Amino acid sequence: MDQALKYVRRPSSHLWEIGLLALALALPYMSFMDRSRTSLAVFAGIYVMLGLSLNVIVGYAGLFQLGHAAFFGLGAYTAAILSIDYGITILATIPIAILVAGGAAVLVTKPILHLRGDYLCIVTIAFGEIFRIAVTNNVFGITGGSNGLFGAGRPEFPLPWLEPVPAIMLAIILALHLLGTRKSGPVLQWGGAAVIATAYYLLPLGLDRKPLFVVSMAMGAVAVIAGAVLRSNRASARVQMIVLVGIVLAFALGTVLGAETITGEIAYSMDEYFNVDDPTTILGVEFTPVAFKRDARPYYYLVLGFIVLTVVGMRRLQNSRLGRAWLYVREDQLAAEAMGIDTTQIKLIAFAIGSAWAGVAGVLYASRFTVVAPESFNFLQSVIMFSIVVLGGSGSIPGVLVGTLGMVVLPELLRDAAPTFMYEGAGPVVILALILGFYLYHAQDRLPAAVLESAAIAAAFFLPPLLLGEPALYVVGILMALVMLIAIARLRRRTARYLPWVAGALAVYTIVLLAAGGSLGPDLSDGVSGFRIMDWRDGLMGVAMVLMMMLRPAGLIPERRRGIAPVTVEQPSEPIPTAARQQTTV
Amino acid sequence: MAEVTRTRRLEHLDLDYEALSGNYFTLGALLASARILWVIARTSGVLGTPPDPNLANVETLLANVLLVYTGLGLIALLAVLAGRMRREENVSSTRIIINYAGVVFFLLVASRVATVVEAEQVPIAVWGLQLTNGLVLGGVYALVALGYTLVYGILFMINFAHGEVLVLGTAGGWFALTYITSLGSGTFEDGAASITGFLMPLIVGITFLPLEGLATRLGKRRSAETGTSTTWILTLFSLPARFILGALIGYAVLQALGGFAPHIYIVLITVVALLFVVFSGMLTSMLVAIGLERVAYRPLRRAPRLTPLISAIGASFFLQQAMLNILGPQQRFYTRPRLIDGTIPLRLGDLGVIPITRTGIIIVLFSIVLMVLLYLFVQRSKMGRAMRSVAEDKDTAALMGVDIDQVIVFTFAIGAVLAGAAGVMMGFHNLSFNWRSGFIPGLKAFTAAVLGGIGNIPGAMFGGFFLGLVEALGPIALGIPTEYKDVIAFGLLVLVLIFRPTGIFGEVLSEKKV
Repeated sequence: MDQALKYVRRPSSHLWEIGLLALALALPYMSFMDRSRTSLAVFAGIYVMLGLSLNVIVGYAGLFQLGHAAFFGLGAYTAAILSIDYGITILATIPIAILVAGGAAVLVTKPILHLRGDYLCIVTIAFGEIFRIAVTNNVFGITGGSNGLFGAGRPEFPLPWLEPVPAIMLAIILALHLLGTRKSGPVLQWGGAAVIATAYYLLPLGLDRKPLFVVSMAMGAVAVIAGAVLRSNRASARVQMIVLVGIVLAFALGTVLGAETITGEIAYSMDEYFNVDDPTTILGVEFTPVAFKRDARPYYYLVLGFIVLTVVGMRRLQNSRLGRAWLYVREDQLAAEAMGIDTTQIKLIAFAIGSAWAGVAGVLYASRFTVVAPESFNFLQSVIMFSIVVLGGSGSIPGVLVGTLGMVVLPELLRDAAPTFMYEGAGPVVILALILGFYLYHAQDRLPAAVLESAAIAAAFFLPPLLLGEPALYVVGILMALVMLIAIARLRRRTARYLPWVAGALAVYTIVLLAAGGSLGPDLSDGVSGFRIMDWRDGLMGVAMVLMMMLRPAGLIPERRRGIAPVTVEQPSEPIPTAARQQTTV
Repeated sequence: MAEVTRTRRLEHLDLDYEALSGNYFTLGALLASARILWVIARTSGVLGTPPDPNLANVETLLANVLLVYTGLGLIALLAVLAGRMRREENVSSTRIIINYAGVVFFLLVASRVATVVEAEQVPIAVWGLQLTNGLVLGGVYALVALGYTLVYGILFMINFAHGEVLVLGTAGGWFALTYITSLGSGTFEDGAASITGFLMPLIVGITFLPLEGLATRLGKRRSAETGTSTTWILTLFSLPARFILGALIGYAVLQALGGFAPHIYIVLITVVALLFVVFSGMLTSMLVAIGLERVAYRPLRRAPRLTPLISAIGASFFLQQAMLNILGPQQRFYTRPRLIDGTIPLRLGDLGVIPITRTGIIIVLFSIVLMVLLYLFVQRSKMGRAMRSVAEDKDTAALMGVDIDQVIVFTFAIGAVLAGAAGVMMGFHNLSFNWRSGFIPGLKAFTAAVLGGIGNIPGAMFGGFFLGLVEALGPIALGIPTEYKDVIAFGLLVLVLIFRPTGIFGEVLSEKKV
């Protein structure tokens, strides 16, 4: 019984997540981040939110949704219309966007949810198209036609500059600290809390500089995070206490020494990022009206905050009663029904939650770009979101992050890159070494012959470019190496003595290339330099989808299986057991 | 057991309400259509201009009948629901409620059409024009829908890249057309003359070869390695002579026609050149579809159902991007040859004139011919029988000696050939296309396939024409702008899935499929 049932959930460590979060917090201030890259990071963050929301539908509940851009667009249009026509602060439209997008999802999918998955897929595509057509043709006269809507408001909120906010922040920090250290003894728990609280209020009030509360908040956050890291590494209470005191002292020292400059810096940054107006006093509290400027960094932190909220929420959702119900429905609908789960209802909830959260992403989009146009919500966007989830690994949150990096960030960074490395410098050698190494690794049982073949291929690879002095011919050589390895694998099954064939083919290749290759070089280098990744982005995405379905149907980072998973007896007769095998053992 | 159930039913007057409500739905649909057709006929002037005032009474009668019908249905529905509630039967009543909602929907649509048509007083000429447009569109949709249905019937997957296969056919035809025009240094007719001068002798020459004998001989040679007989050598020597003779005859006939019967000559060269264009489109589509099957679908044949769908979406995007990089982002234009350009006016006396395009007539006829050929092929030929058996049960068919891979490749090829022909015809109808113009027609053709019941070949044909007509006539009848014709088509898809998930004719489903 122990063999048949395997408990596969590993204890989770928060170290990774904290490190990632710290990296994300520091990202806009790194040296390689210029204005456009910060903007790209905000854009990617919105796509992370979209991917996470689609993950509820596709990953958790196993439904197909190829019209997600429509719900994204519903949120964006709702926010833009409310902001432009009714002057509502844009972040305040989030509840309405949730209602509109979620309600639309319920209305559209309710009647057809009981049908088979492929029908659902087509209907969602159709809905996406209906949305796009309706918006392009200025439906009800409120969507602005094919040019879209201009001038949606930027986020603005009153920033209370005095007492209540620092107190609330301190309360949160202390609560986190007390919760985290509840197993580490009263000295660390209450003593640490006292140290934090004292240092928190001492600095700004003692030096009489209120902006220093920002430093205090940062100190509190660092202290809580450091405590969590230490605990997950099983540090003792004494070490934790020492580190805590060290952090507090370091902060205090730094602040006291540079109080003047730090205060000035904070005030300057505030002015740089936000439109800060003069404070107004309401009910004895000073409020400073703040609106985001065009600088992308405040948006970055806004979106990051939403992403953290989403990730935490999604994880809680995944482990909730509802999340388990989704798992059962996805894995075996009949069994789920037999267990008394109302499958239609459960699927509908997945659609409603996913679409509503896409609406929130839409609000963020509208607030960042202030222009909402139909072309941002077409079928291509839906497919990009879908492949973020599917390629990353449906149902897995890290998968969505990786998928967004691959689908949104990478193509933009490589926008103007040409693959000249294929014939420049050490590039060809590395590529050939990789190809041959892969081949040799697979040919371990007959290594001598394989080494011989590899040597012959390498010789034919290097001969023409070196003799003719045309490095661009390496591109042909790479193709030759790939074709040759496939041909060898084929030949081996057919004939016993294949080496003459291989040698002959290589000789012919070398001679032909030597005879005709001199003029080929410049053309090739033109062709390679003229190749732009951006021209082929969608095509490469398509190829990636096809390949991924064959090689790793569960995605790059497959969802970690939860709960008790039966170990199935592997059936070697099945042509494609990889999917099943991965699902049971990962 | 059955008798017990029957007696129980009789005691409680427990009829099969699901079936009854299905019939109720169908009858409601018929009544609503009758009302819509009658209104259109009366206002458009078919029944005499101005129409007899008494005829309006018939319409009121029909409207009232529909209203009473709906009201009676509501009473019956409530009675059934109350009865079920009282007996605390644990039966889902969703189906009968949905059927009733459908009848209410028909009532609303019929009255909307009646008010719009009454207000607009659209003349019959406009209706006729849209009707012909709809038929042309329908022919194209039906051909593409057949591709979806054939593949679905055998593999139970939606071949999402079929729309791309369609527009690849358009592109292949466009390349052939451009080639022909470039041969004639600008005019289609000159190019057609030169390409016919090459193709005609070739075709006639090939028909002079003893094809059947060759085929059997080649077949024999492949099966058993027998020594070459003397007759085989004789045939081998006679082959070039026969071919040259045939080619000469073909050339002579062509020249003679050109000299003595120029009218026939023009028709002949245009037909040959157009067939060349259509075949190029078909060939492009077919090759792409076969490659697609080999690369993207075959490795996933045993995977879960939705995996090939993702793969198909990926393949579709790759094809789109490839086409964008080959054709460029701009519109490409078809030109119609002089022979099939222009319109044939259909005179309706004093009611006006309907200009029917010649291309339209050819498209509808050609698509019907192709569909009949397909139907005969599937029903009569050996391969067709194999296809049907594979659709029924793959494993058993394999046990019976059917080569599954071959059948599947063949299915893809046939679907693609139809789509390629449809693509070329679409090009001649719309006169322009670009790399993206396969997506929407592909989606609509899928809608057509679902309309007729996916997996059902006559259903796909019917669904294609029905969808084309709805799309062409719907905007006028419902009084909404033409930009929303796509919305009507997709809305129809959603409605069909709600009210009749198995399509109008029902899905052909065997036991094993679901």
